[in-house]
Amino acid sequence: MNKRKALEELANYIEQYLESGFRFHVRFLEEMGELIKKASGSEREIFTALIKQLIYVKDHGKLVHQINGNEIIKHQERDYYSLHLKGKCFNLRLILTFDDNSSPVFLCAFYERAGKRASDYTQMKTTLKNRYEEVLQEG
Amino acid sequence: MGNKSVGLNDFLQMFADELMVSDITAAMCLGKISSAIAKRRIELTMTQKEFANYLQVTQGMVSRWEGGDYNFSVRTLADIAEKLDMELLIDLRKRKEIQIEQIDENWNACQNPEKKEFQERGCRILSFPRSEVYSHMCKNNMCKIYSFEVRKEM
Repeated sequence: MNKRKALEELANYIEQYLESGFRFHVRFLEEMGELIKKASGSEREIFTALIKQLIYVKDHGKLVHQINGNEIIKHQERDYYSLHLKGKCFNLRLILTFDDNSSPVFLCAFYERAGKRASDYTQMKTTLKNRYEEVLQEG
Repeated sequence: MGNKSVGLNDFLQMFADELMVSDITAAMCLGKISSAIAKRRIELTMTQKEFANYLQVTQGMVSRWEGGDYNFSVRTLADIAEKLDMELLIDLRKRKEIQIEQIDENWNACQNPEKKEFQERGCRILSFPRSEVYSHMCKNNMCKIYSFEVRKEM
């Protein structure tokens, strides 16, 4: 079996294990792409940390903040969850929320040490709200 | 306006060029183990410190287990399983090739494929230059393939 085929199968396996319903805002993907570029050489480590967090989200759902390093961000209209991806060369935060079907929607990714203002959740409230609404509008 | 969200498969493609098959397998195994240990700790309503005392290890060790960057030995896993009254199942076997059960050529003629309906049924869409293939993984490890020709706007 060639590598590409095996990777496709494994990606499919991951998708099935986690069950469908994980959604990612396109800006989240772009932000992750930039963060991965900056942490060049750590792709494997980031991937491992990421898969672990995706499994945590599947297994623990809205209790995912009980895992060490993760946080819940309480807002009036909706709770957001901050997942921590930490390795030797990266220190990332991924922000998600759960839709009305309790399916996770990933909204935002940033480098935690990018400055106090960048990791201040109150500054991000409008961005998170807008991105979630954009995903919701797709149905 | 284009789509504002994508699915898991698109997201995972970001890593496709950097990973070996073994990287994905290891990440999945470590993730499942870390999550199972954390789940048990939460069930026991313990903090990491209390959990560490309970298992007679350091808090740092529990943090590394749950952090997913600890490369467990089978011996360590067996010890953890025993202390937590959990089962440890390790299975190593020959990979099963996915067999194509059916290629329904008649579906090529379908004029209005309802992509949404296929997505809701759990189908995965694979795009090729001249067609889109919908693959549906069945429980028996068989794979049903349906294909549609892409209609070009003139």
